[in-house]
Amino acid sequence: MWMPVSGGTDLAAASARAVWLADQDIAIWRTKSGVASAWHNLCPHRGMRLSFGQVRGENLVCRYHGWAFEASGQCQGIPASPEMKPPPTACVETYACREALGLIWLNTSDDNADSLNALTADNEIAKSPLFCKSIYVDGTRGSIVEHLSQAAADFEASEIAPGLISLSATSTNEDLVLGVQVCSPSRLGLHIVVKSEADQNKDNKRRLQIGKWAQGLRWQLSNPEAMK
Amino acid sequence: MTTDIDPATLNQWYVIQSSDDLTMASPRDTRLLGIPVSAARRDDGQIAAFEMSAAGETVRELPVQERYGYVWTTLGTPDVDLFDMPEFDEEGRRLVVCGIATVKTSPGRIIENFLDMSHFPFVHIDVLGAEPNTEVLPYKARVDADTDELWATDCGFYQPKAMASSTEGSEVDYRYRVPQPYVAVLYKTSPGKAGAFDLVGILPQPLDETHCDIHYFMLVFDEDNSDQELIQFQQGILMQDRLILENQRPLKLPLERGAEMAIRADVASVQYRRWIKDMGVGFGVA
Repeated sequence: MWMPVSGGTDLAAASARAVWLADQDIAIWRTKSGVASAWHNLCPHRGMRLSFGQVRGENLVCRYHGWAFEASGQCQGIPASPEMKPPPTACVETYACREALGLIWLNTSDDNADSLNALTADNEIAKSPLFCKSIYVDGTRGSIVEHLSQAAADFEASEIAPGLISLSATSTNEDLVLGVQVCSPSRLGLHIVVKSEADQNKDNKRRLQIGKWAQGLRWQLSNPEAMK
Repeated sequence: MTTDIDPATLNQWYVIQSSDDLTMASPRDTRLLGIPVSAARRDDGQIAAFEMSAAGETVRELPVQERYGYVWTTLGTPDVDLFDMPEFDEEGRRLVVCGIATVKTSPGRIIENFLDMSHFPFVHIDVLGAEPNTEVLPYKARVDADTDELWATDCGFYQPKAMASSTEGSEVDYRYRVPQPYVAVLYKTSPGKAGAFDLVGILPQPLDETHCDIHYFMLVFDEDNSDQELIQFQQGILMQDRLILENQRPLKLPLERGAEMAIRADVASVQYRRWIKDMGVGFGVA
């Protein structure tokens, strides 16, 4: 199934970092031209975590020995043996990776791209999403909707699709969606997206406002006693 | 329990402290292969080391020897004497004990990183290597049948700053000696004495399978740099390696053929893995 792992704008061009999904160590990175990929965080040569790598153009270069891998996962160059053509076995395990709803999604099973399209098809925010902020909290996927209902009392929380929660304000017409990343069975990432107003100044202001609100939400979700 | 540890690992000598740092005022309470060990220098200057229980009680006294500026002990019964390092008797050399670096990985990953030249331009940028000089030329790696030691010879690499005393880049000749699984010594062209080799040694003390205290030293012809300057240089390099070592997966050294890809430049690594596998090392390996 498709799972969000990061806000799209939280992964800059020509950068790499590590994310966790169901206790799996995953390297996400973006080429200079903007293509995002998600890989098993392991160089096939000496097991170095590729999230420490450096993006050079359209390749991710391992920090340890400079092996350069293209977005397909195939190694394109081995600096210690510059004349050698890297064999097909010099290849990183990859996950299918897509961007939708302002988030980076990756696929851990055999779902096709259509199921991601279906996930976001009828969503008003998905038409022009503005990613605002990610927060990380202790919790389980099974109980997060209920916890959100308690923590964000002014909102109605409902799971609109697997990995996607809608928060609708009860007194205003404010709508948010949260992409739920299951980092581990007891740790979640919540990626908050709102509808863009197609105005950079307004969007910047909105992003700051949501960011501040999200910090309070994180505190409430982390301190359930305080909610009573 | 020592009974859980394979004989090849158990019957080795391990460094637990430098001689200079084990004073009467500063005993060393540490772990070796997961087992609490306590060592102290007595009033008469002799050293006593003990295996301790988890509760902190003495279980038994351990064999101890002081050589090459270090205190060595074992939890097993080694069937050979500690290896010879004749360079320690050479006129004009200076021993610089660099201290301890605690690194969260297995001893095998540490030794393998030490034997590896191909990471120099990417990890020790503008010090031990620099792009575009990344090629590792063919070198030899073999286990000496008489001594059962691993040697890598005929190694050469262009280094912008090979040692603390280097003033310019140079083609540096290397030789590596691995006299036992968790001791490695590097011989490299000495900037201080023509035709001679300086030594850099690493002596990882396995605290457990994936934590080590790395003791390291230099034995050099160098009259220009203070101990502190030499230590800082070596420490800087080790800290760069540490970022790598703590982020390899698995932390234990994979010994199965094909577990990780190898190329020609990795022949020392391939020989090392085969050597300790044949020996029966089962601690800190995957």
